[in-house]
Formats: sequence, C-alpha cells, structure tokens
Amino acid sequence: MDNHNVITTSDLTKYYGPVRGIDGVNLEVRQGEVFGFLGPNGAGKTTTIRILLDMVRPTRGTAQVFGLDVRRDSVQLRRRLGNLQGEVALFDTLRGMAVLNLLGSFRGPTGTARMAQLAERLDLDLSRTVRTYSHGMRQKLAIIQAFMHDPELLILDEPSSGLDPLMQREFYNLVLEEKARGKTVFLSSHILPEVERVCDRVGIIREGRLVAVEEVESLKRRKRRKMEIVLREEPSDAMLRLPGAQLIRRDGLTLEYQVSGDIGPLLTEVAKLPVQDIVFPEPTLEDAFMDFYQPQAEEVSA
Amino acid sequence: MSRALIWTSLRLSQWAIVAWAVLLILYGFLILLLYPAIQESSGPVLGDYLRSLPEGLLASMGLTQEVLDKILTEQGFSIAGFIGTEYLAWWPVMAGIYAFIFGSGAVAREAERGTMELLLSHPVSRAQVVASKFLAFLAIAGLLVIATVAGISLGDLLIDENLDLLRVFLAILQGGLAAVTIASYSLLISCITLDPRKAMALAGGIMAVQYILGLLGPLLDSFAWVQRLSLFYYYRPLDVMVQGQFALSSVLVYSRVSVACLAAALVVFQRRKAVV
Repeated sequence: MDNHNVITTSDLTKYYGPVRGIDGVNLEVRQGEVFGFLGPNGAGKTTTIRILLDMVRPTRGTAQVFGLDVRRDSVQLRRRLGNLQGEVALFDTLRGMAVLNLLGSFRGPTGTARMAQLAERLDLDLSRTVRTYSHGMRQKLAIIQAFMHDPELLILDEPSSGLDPLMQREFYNLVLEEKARGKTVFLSSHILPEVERVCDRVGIIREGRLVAVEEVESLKRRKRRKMEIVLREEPSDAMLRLPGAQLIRRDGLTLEYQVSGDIGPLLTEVAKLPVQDIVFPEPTLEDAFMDFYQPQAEEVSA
Repeated sequence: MSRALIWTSLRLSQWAIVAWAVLLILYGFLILLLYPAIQESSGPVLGDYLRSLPEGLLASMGLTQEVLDKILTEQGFSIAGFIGTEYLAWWPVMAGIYAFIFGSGAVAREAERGTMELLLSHPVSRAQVVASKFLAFLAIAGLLVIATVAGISLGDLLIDENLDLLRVFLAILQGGLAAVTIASYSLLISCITLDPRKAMALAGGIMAVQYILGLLGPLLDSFAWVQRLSLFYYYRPLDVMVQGQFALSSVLVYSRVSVACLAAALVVFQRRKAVV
C-alpha cells in the first residue's frame, strides 16, 4: 500500500447473483482528505462501503483499509474507523445514551465527554427512547456514534439525510474540523452541494463502475460552461445557431446554451442578437456530475 | 467474547424474558396449589385411569408401570409424580417455544432491522455476534430454570408437601438443556436463512415434528427408534423426580447437539457472502 492511502481497492467487483453491484472499482483515498463518493441511487456506493466493512464479500478484487485486508483484519481496522450507515437502524427500545454507551463499550471505556459535546452541538436529547426520535434525530444519533470515539477514518454513507439546513451546516463544520485534525473522511452522497462544500476530491460511480476521480475544483473547471441569454424580441431559428454553443433550453425569450471552446467567435455572434441580458453562471459540481451521466446534452428544437 | 454483545441481546429481550419467566413461575405455582384439591377430588380415580392405559400410550407420556407404581399411592398421585407429569413434562415445550423464537430471530432479525450493520460497524466479529447470541440464550435458560425452581419452592411452602427441590432443580436443568439445544439449531437456521420469518417457521416446525416423534414413537412398535430422533426423548423428568436418576447421557446428547449446531452456525455466518 502507498503510505499515503488510507483506502485502496483493486478491481473490486460484486455481483449479487446476476445483478451488478460494482464492477472493477479501483479506488485510492489519501490520508487526511475528504473524499466524496458520488453517484445516484443504485450506482454501487453502499455496496462499496459494505465491502470495506466486511459486511459483504466481493466477487473478485481486493480492498485494504490502513493497509489491512478488509476481510482478514476487519475487527482490527473497524477499531480505527467510524461508520455511518446509509439507512440508519438503531436499537429502538433503548434510550439514546444507552445506545451510545452500548456501542462505545465495544471499544472499551467510552468517551462520555465527547458524546455529550456532540449531542449538545447537534442539539439531541439523549435521554429519550430512540423509538420516539424523528428521522433527523436518529440521523444525529448515528452521526454521534460514528464520531464519538475519535476515529482515524470516517466512512459516511449519505450522512446529511434527514438533517435540517442548520444541522447540515453543523455537520459539514464537524467534517471540516475532523479534516483539519488530519482525519480522513470517505463520504458517499448524491447531494452535490454537500460534496462540493466539504470534499477535496470526488470519485464518480456510474452503474457500478468508477468513471472518474478528480479534484473538486478541477472537475468544476473542466466543465463546459453555461450561458444564459435573455432576448428583447423573438429571434429567428437561424439566429439561434451560435458557434461553439449548443442550445439546451428555451423558455420564451430566455435561452440557455452549453458553451465550449474559444468564446471569441461566440461573443461576436451574440452581439448581433437583440440581447437584453447575458449571464455566465458559476460552474457547479452538479454540471460536471451531469456530464458523466448525460454525456450528450439534450437537443432542444428551436 | 464481547460481554457488551451478550448484554445487548439480553437487554433487547428483557421484556420477553420477564414474560416467559413469569409464565413459567405462575404455571408451576398454580399447579402446586391445585395439587391438594385434585388429590382430594379425583386422585384414586386418576390413578386407576392411568393404570388402565396401554403401555405405548403411557410410554409416550414418559410413564411405565414401574414408574406408575412409584408415583401412585392409594390417595392418588405423589407430589413428585404430579409435578413430574402435570408440569415438568411440559416445561421444555414452553421454554422451547421461547427458545426457537429467540434462536431463529437472533441473527436474522438483526439483519432485517439493519442493526446488524450497526453492530458490524464497530470492532465486533461475525463469530462474536453468533457466539454472544448463543451465550445470551444460555443465560436466559439459566434464568428460566432458577425462576421456575423459585416458583415451585414458593408453591411448596404454601401446600407444605416437602417436595425434593434438588430433584426439581435437576429435572428442570435437564429441560433447560433441551431448550438450549432448540435455541442452538434455531440459531443455525437463522444464520442459514437470514430471514426471521422463514427461520421461525422452520425452527418451530422442527420442534413440532420432534415433539410428535417423541409421542408417536412408543405407540408404533416398528418405529420405536424414531423417538430417539426427538430431543424430547432425552428429557426424563420422572426419572429424576421419582427415581433420583439424572441421566448424564441426556446431558451429553443435548451438549453435543448444541455445540455442533453452534459450530455450524459460526462457520455458516463466517462464510456468508453478505450478512446485511
């Protein structure tokens, strides 16, 4: 293993009978980074995480965490990581504090101070029985159990699900603080602003295959930009054909183009149109992400 | 071994454990309280009736003429015989029902609810999960045995029959081992299917078949051997209560089957491609 990689997978493949889970995933997550694992539902994010935790065994390929084999050394490596599962299931009949004490006891003496601090920060009442918790409160409890033992690696599957915007912000701050302390975070999500906000690099998984791994910033830069024009009057079809731009949306006098290449000839042609307003929106990760899922922008008939 | 895991299993089953313990205590207590009244009203008649039954039918109830001679007096049943036939004979069935419900859901229900994923996010091995479920039931069985003996002791105090409580304890201990065996094969089925409903249906079905085999075996001469396939065959409360014979062979059978099922469950769960 590369000394700087906390997670390494090689040709990691899982089929559930004939159904594809993941196929040939080669992944490297570096120490101290926040790595976003992006993909829509069913792309294979949770399967990958479950293999890393030895809950599911791969059909072929290998996976290592901290240089340890995820199957042979699963208990040893789980001692060093915190996990937040995608669909949170807790012991409903116990109180929040009892759940944390119980899970903490698997690791020896529990850091009750850290528990209380996290609960206060996430505004969670630990004296209540879990079955009385809302979805968001369960999510908070699950976050606390993942963070409470100060793990070296956090594996978080759809972590902000169910949290209100304020708590989402608090959660992102928590992740960024862990990163600042040198911890590694592997975060699976399909919420792009979340990934954009906290991640250094992202891996994009599509239909079980890892199709790209890039720095968040370079991914955004690589994205073909968009241009939005608002016209004063109805243009002819011929006027709508612009060099280096593809019309992707038309809503009355508002036109949205996807722009690529040299922008000079395009601006010359745009200047000939009866333009009322023109905007080049800041590229978002979502745009980049959609590139991987919709390589061909849909043509809009003018 | 993770004590926390065992404690979790016990904690999550606490109300069911209390309910079954109370049920067993109350049943034993009530049976004892009924003894003087039954003895007075129909004791001799019941004795004559039992003596008139065919040997096969008596054997299916764990009785022989020799045993009848020992448990029937001129007034009817002796207290040991009464407790042995009216309560202890049913004990492993009642405890067995809880055993197969607990065993079949032990692993499969955790997987279905998603709590298995939570547990295995922490430094806990698959083997520890299975072994702790087994040990948790061992503790539950011990608790049920103690609770039952306590209930009978209390009832005996009230009717003042000087019941041999050591024999009661040994007979119920044998029943407790039978329940542990039922929980063990149910746990194995739970690990194989990872489906709580399927596991419960299979484990309950096997227990019912074993009970029927134990009943029918003595009735059918040519199939007498089949009763040996029943776990209930090795449970001999009257031998303990009446003759003071605690068969070590029964302990060996129950222990071997339990250990074999536990080992198989550990291997099956360890080798499963997916446990969530």
